[in-house]
Amino acid sequence: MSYKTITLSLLYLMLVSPLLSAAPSKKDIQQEFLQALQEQILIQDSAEALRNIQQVKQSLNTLQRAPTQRTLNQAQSHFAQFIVSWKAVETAYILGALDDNYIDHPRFIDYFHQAKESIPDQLEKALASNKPVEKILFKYSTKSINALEYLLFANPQKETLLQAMGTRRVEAAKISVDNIALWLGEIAQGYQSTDILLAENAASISQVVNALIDSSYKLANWRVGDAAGLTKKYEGKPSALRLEYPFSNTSYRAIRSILQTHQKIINRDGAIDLLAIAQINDAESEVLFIQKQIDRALEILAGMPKSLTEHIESQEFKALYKQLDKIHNAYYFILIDALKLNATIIDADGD
Amino acid sequence: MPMVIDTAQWLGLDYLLNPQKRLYWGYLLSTIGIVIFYCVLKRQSIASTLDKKIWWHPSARLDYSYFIVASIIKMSLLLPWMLGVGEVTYWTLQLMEALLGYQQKIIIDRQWVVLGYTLALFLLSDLSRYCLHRLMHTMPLLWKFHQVHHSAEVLTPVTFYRVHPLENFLFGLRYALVTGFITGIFIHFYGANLAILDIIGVNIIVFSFHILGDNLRHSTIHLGYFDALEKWFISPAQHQYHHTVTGTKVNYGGILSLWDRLFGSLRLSSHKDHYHYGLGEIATRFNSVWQLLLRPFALFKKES
Repeated sequence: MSYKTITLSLLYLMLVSPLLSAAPSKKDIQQEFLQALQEQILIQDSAEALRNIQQVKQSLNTLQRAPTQRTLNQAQSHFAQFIVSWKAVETAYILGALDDNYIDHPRFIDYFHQAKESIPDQLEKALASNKPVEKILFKYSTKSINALEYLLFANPQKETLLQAMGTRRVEAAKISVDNIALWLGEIAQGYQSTDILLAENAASISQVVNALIDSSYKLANWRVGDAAGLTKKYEGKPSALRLEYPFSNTSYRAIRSILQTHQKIINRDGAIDLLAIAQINDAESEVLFIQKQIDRALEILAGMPKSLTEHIESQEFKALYKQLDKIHNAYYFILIDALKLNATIIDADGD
Repeated sequence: MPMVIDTAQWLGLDYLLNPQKRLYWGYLLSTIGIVIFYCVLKRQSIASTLDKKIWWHPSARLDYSYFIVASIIKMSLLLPWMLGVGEVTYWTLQLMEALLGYQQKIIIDRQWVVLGYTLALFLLSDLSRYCLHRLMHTMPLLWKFHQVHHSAEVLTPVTFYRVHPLENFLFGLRYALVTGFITGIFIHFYGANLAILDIIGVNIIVFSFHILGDNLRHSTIHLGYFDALEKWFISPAQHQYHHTVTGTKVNYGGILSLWDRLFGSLRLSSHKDHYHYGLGEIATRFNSVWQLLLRPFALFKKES
């Protein structure tokens, strides 16, 4: 075969290939989805979480000035409100995937399932010490949401929590709040300033789906399964201390917030949502299936008492775990179907 | 209209419009173009490639009728039983999570994941195709069924589909296992950040080879490459030699000849070999659609 033959063949290939490769563009719908996600969910949720943590700070200032049961209750109530908004931000967190500088921000805020050491033990040591609180609480774990929850709700001492809310404890809580507000402020700012459309559309959408897959796994296994003793790691050993918020009883609201965030990313009235993306990829039925499973999980949750601590061994909690696991698997099935690999299954290339 | 489409699918006529199939109109058009180039360069008459003795040979006519019957069998008997890639992918994901635990999806530039996945799919698919094809020749039981394909005495692009349904099933199983396994591993690590680099829905590497004349593997166009190139990629001439009475123990490769080279079954087309297609004397046993379908079982029964 001569060089001429090869050159002619390559030229021919160059001429023929483009004729055969005109694929329809999905760019507009993908861009609309990403813009709507950024404006209606990512920016709004992070701004709300920031507002809520600032509200916690204000209530801590009030508590410091006037330590009464009412001001303590108010601080606790603001904390619970903040948790609901923070879970929404955490569930859809894609900022780290869009910009490397933001990869670790959630870990600086939330230490659930990360800490190897006991946060309560460290906090108690810090509170008992004579050294300035700000110098002792230098680790992110002791300045995290989980530390803040302990400081605002748990008290292993004989005195009441209100009595324990001495200056050092409130000071420690304020340090946590400042740490959380700092990183959350950067996240909120990051969502405002990052152009979600700078990355390839498909890549950004993939990060959204990855965030949902990740969240669905952690919701089923870390937040429910581990506490109920239904995961391999803790099989048959339930413990309420493994709930995400064992002291404040906010786990119920956190789980609901996570599920509702999944729901609003998938299907929002009048918005280009994940369902719209699925429609252009012939995966509508799979996404509708997930939506149904999320609805069912919310139904199960609605039938449970808001304090999960005493119900981790109940049938409802087990049913919730199974339902959440189903959601996680359903996300994988969407990915598998989206790759459309079954199309050639019968083309058994005998040669 | 849907009924017409269904009927076309059952008869395999949709292959002309399906880029996943070698008989897709685009690939056929490209093949015709290559044949014209080839004839001009070789100073050969284009009309000679349309020789009735080839295209209307009893073996070729058997290919055409068998194509329709095999297509109906594939749709009615094989498809409902075929293991899906989805299932294998899901099992692999479960296995990976059980063995390694849950994997936080790795953040890496999407194009690298897509490139890696496309390459992994191509390489492992081609390797598994080589292995199964070799087994079809070396295992006496499988050879009884693979003889159906080798019984063709003339080669046309339709000969590609002269394959016993059992072989179709095995190759379908191979596809599901390999594709599902690789996909499961990639989803475990990279999640949704996954896609195949494709042209009109076909793996870009596979598309390139289809458009570059995969259809010539079963044809009278004796197109060989340079020796150096044939050590990496199977040329149509190399595959044609595999179809000769004496060549069935070499050149098992699908796209890459690398596997043949690594496992000692490579033969280059520059050898002055005699090209006589078919099985020799036993070819008389495969003269009808029924014989193509049932003879392997008879051979098996006779032996046992």
